[in-house]
Amino acid sequence: MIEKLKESIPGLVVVVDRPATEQAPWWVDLELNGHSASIEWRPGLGFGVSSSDSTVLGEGSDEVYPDVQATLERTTKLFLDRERTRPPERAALRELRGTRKMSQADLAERLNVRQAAISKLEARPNVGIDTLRSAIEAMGGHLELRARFSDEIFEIAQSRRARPKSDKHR
Amino acid sequence: MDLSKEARLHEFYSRLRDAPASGTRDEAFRLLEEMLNEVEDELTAIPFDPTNWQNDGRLYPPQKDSMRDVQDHPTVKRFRTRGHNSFIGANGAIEIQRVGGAVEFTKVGRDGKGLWE
Repeated sequence: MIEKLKESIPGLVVVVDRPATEQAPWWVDLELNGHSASIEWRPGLGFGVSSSDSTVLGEGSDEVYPDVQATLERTTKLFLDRERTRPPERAALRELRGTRKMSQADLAERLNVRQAAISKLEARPNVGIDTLRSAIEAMGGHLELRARFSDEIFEIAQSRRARPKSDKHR
Repeated sequence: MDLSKEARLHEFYSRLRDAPASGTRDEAFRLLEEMLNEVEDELTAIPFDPTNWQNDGRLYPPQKDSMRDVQDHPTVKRFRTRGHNSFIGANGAIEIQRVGGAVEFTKVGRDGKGLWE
């Protein structure tokens, strides 16, 4: 990865900070013309990429990628376009809808329900996965589910959709 | 509303400064770990999630597996995190630096000595 980074970004200064044990996190610090980034490699878990104007002690990596290729592509773009990373934002359904500049009426129409149903949905503290998926897909997005353990992360295979009510007693 | 991460870090450094000096590396590591978790528990609503290594808005202490040796200083260990190195001496002294060397925090050990003396 280091060699490919240096090929893609001429002049890039790369410092590898290796851990005391092979399975512990590695760090790669990158700098070019005042623009900097760091890559955190957690064997078995993936690559964290961060590039921000200031970092406070104790912050995790902003963006996480599963493999070398995705990490290389993102890191190259950060330097060639002088971009900064951003951590994921926590958002409730209402906030998500707002980021898509969509009204409750718009979403209701796409889901073929009444606006009042969207209002109730957004007020609920717990939402079923199928309902959440339908709402996010209606907003133009895609729901991903991951199970995260201390030593591995798994993408959860898409669960079967609930059977329509009319099928329940067949 | 949560305090900003900068304000929480300031509070952490303030409490760390006021805490009694540590006498061993393990003691200093525990102090750093417990103090930051305590500050975060009090001042942010973001739950503690040690399996999460992506930025979730909460500040986490260095982990033991991030430890590295320090060349020419066999009694000092370095704990690497995003953008920072936390140095802890066998005498319990602590120094936190930004990657690149700028010092953010120092605390002597119980013997009254710093890391590099």
